[in-house]
Amino acid sequence: MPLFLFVTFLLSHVTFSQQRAALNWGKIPFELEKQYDINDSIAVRVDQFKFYVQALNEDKQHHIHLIDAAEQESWQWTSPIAPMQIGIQAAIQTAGVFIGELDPINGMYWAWNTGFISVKCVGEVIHTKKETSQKFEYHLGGYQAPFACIKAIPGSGTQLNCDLSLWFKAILHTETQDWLIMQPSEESLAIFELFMASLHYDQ
Amino acid sequence: MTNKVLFLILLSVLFISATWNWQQTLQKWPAPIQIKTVYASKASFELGRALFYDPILSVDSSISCASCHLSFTAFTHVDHPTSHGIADRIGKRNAPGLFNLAWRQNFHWDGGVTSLTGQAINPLTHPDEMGETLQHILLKLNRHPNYAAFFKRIYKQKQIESWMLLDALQQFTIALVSKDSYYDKVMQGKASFSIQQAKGFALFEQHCNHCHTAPLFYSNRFEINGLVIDTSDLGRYEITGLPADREKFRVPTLRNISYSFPYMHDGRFKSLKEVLRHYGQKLQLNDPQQKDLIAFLKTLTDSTFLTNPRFQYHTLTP
Ligand code: HEC
Ligand code: HEC
Repeated sequence: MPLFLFVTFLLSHVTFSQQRAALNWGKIPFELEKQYDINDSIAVRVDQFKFYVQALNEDKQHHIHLIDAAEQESWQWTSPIAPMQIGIQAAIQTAGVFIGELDPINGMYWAWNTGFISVKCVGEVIHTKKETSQKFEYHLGGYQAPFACIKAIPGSGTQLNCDLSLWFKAILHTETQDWLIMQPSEESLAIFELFMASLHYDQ
Repeated sequence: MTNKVLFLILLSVLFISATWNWQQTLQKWPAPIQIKTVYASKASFELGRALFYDPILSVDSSISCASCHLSFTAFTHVDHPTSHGIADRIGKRNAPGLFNLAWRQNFHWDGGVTSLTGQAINPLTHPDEMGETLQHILLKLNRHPNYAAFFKRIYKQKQIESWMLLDALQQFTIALVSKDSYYDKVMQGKASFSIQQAKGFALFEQHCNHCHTAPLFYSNRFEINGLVIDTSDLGRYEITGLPADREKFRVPTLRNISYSFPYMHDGRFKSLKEVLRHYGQKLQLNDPQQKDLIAFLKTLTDSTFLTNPRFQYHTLTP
């Protein structure tokens, strides 16, 4: 009986809200496999784009959600009202939990370099004038310092906006360009930071 | 009030029954780090065991986990410097023995795998090992009447999902415990060392035990043991990217060491003699001392474990 009361007490203190992710290219909705001009000589096409969000609630439950640009249903989910982060807490990553959103079938788990990928983005950068292109593959993740790709999303709200044009413009601005990033490193963290800067909540 | 008392009694009964087994059999052993899941049972162990021996898990049904991890040799890939996978492609590292895994903080020579449950994804999907995809394995298992029924009985779900496959494999590997070597019998006062073994043991405690720490004879640390460096494998550094971790490898167990030749992460030494020659140079151990150490290392062989029928080939019968 006391246990039962305690559980209902806990439950009554977790409030959920409907969350939405708005994936955009500038002011227009973003689409996979579509070519977007960055300037008059460079364009970008993204073929795969997914990332994990986790609500850091105190109820000890794993409120983890995978947003996949290819799955429209994944752009909406319910989550406790709590601070949100991109990526998954290290303690969960190392616990051997593979259920639901954490199913390795999602292609977000690193087998030979354990940990979950926080942000996966794959596509091509096209030099429109030269008619050449460069494939890119970003697997940004890992939970170990100093290259852990896990960060709190600043602010709060119910609509998380992600502007991929901001992200790619920033990437193309950086000096060293490593197009294949498949494990935690300084470069991976730098691209991840740029991704974080492309996110904001609607107030 | 009475409810509370009952609840406490129930809790302590559960606690005592859960710890009883470990306490009885593993005196002085530390608490395990990898924990059995709620699905631990005889049925899930037998399911994991059948999967471990079943080539259905590889892309061309040619190899099983047991192809590289043989029960009779403490689940190592004996006589292979590095392991073969499908199409005979050669892996990069020597397959370690599989036992006493519950006390490991992390797995593989570089510690890049942090849970025993997740470990199996590596061989299953690595192109040089079993070369499968989880999607396809699940498809095959879900179609297999025997497996479908066994999974359903244990995990109470219609469809087999990846976490169930990983859980089942782990039920088998976590149960592989080796603790009945001649050394253990000596420690329990049931046998005694020969003079040479005793000398070897003393040398071991002096020179080796701080890394290969008894009773597990490993430690959850990454160390450099003085091997000539081969830059194609930088060990722990490949996981952490930290300069201090370059060329560090995890400290392997020395239990059943007679069977895990060739030795080191790349299998560079064919015999214990070669291993001891290496350490002899680093630690100024002369020839007789090296021989004494080998005599001691041989007492770490656990033939009860090597021949345990519970761990051998098995298929499920409906
Ligand atoms: C092609 C050979 C091969 C196959 C098949 C294989 N393994 Fe392994 N296994 C290895 C090698 C090599 C390592 C060491 C890898 C490393 O350190 O990078 C290893 C390591 C392990 C470890 C970690 C042990 C430790 O102490 O760190 C476990 C557990 C394991 N394998 C279980 C399995 C299971 C379960 C299967 C079947 C699903 C399997 N293996 C199939 C070669 C193989
Ligand atoms: C500084 C820590 C350290 C000390 C001291 C040490 N070792 Fe090791 N040992 C290691 C590491 C690390 C490895 C794995 C190295 C590798 O594969 O690159 C290893 C590997 C081995 C192996 C091969 C195991 C296998 O499965 O391939 C044997 C045998 C061995 N050590 C025996 C000894 C003996 C005997 C001594 C004492 C004379 C000793 N070690 C002292 C760290 C140590």
